[in-house]
Amino acid sequence: MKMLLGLVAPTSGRVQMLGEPFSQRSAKRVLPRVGSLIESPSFYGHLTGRENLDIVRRIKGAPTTAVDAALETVRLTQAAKKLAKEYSLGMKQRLGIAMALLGSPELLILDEPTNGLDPAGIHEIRELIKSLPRTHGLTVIVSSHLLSEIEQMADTIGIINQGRMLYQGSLSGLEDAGRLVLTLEDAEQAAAMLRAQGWQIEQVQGREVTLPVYEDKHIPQLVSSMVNAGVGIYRVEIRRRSLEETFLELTERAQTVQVAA
Amino acid sequence: MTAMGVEVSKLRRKRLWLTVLLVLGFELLWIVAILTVSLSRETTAPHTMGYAIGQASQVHAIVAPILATVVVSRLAAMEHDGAMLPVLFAANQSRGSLFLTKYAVAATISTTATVIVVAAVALVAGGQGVPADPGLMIAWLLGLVLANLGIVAIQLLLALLFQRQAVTLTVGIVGGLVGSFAGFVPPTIAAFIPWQYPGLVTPVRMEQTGGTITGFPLVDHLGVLIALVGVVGAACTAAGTAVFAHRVSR
Amino acid sequence: MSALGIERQKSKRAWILLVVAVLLVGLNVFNGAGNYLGNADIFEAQGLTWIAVWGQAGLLWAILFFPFLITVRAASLTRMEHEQANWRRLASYGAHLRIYRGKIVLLAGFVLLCQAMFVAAVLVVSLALGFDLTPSDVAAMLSWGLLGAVGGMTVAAIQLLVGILVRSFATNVAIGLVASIGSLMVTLVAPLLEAVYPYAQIGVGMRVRALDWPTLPETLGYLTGNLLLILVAVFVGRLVLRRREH
Repeated sequence: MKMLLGLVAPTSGRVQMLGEPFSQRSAKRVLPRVGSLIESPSFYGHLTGRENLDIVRRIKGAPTTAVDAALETVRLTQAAKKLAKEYSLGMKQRLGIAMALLGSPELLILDEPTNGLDPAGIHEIRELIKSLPRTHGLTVIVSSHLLSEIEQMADTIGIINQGRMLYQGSLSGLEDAGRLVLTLEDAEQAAAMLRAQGWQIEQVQGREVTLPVYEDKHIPQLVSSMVNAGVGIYRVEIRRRSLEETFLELTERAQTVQVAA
Repeated sequence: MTAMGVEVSKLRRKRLWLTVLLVLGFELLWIVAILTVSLSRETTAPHTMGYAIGQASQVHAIVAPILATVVVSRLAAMEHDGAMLPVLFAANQSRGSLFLTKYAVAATISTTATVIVVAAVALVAGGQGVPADPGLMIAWLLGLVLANLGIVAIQLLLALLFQRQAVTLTVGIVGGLVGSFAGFVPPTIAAFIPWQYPGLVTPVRMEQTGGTITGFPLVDHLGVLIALVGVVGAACTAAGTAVFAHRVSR
Repeated sequence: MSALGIERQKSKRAWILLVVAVLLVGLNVFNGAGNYLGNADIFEAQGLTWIAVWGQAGLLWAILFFPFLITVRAASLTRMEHEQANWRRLASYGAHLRIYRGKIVLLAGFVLLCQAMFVAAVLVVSLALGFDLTPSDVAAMLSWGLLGAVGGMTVAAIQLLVGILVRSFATNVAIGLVASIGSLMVTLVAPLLEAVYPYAQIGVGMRVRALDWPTLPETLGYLTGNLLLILVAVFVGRLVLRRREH
């Protein structure tokens, strides 16, 4: 994210922002169209929230109305007159987001935006971020280590591990199709029988027989064939790996690949 | 004392020594310059250790408060920058203990610097053929060490109470620079300004007739001055600790 | 210039330093006047009036107190950005160079203001002491004051650069102070270097030792030299800010 804003120079490779290759010169054109909150929020402690925002507004050349609008958006209007150094962690975070919103950016880059917020605040900011593309017509890039949060916010995600992009695509692409898992009285016998009937058995372990997920219309047939054969059925379910498990597997696999390499 | 150990370990990678080196190194350079130049040009006044001390003291009286102020400011800023004061107090370090340990570190640094300066004066003057005068040197050293204590105490209190280091730096430096007016500030006034104590305890004073220096005779009542300085220094330290310990908020 | 306006908005409690400046000006000029009165007969015999006050008051002002004020102001301007990673935020807006420019201009205003106060104080004291001031005398005070302010800008530009490089406020001030006091050493050991030593320029411009009008070549040399120093300091400052990674 720092590289996208020119705060850090890449050791190799190139950066493209808003359709342009990023350089000192293009930065002048590009950066005014980008709002960001990187690491912990920056502010002038000796100034009030409103004064801080006014300064950012003037730097970005935004209209005077932008400050009130930003304060309203992050729900800091009440605390606007307090000195920034007296803000709680959550309020500082909101102030940082408000600063990022000033100047009607086309792109918002937010680094862990719900950091330090209470559950109500997390919900609020998450809903805000989700609404921004619709209400302000902008794109938001959010970084987070909370998969549950990303799941609820993002359409497209990227997974970076040790400097490498492991996955980039839609969230649904990471969703696990799942497996059909039968918990039976005598798994071995049942598996043999099902195999003979042409069902695809992936794995038998303990009392569980794992099959690929068949369409709903095949399930009654599967169940009745087992019942007719006298197989005791305890459970028929679809098990999906959680996003977390998918993520961990992806990163672990990448690690072993790296070790092997 | 673990509190001291903690205080010293906080200085790791802070390069405080670099700042001290900057100020002390500059002072030593200046003293060497002034001693060699003045002694080589001096024809009327006798080349005594008192002469050397008198010349060097004009430099030291300006730099000593600056060094103390800057060191203390660095020590306090460390806590303010990380907002560590509430953390330390919550971890049950007493405010008095914090003040005293920082004081001890600052005082140690100042004293070491003072010893180096006095030694340098003795060496350079000796190198220029000035006869040694250990008694005078020790009197000067003692006075200077005691003189520092008051400055460090007041500066530390200011530096810990005010997050804006501009305040403490302005007070300490202006307090010290005021002494540069007219060479020496008269003892009656200097006694009220702790930042002038390094100049106040100079065991000699300049004697001039018609613009030329005729000598550096001993100051009267040097013992009284040193005692005064020591007492005020101790009082400031006690007061500083007490004031800081009784602050309710951070 | 909006960058200047922004910097002014950020400098909320800068007035305190101005009060200190007034006090220091007062102290120096008072000292100058006292020195005159103490040696009034000698000065009268030599026909020196305001020049004696100017020389005595200006010496310590130019070498110690004026650079001290500039150093503290410059250090405050850079310190507020070092805190809370504000340089990084400004860089993310692409505004860091603009803001630097604003700080330079604000600092220049401060330098001019302090020097103006000094000149005004000397004028007032001269009148109070009953000196007969010719227009040429007043012109001298104003011109030398202005030249000194140029020297002040040199110190300001360098200290602003130091402030960008050095994070600690105290070390910043220590550097400025040591460098300023160092000009005394330069005068003592290598008087010829005084013409090029940056922190001695205020004294040179104010003519606190020479106590007479500079020649045209001297003035041009002084102005060019200082302008060069200022440009180099600003250039390096911009370079550092541009290349810095956050």
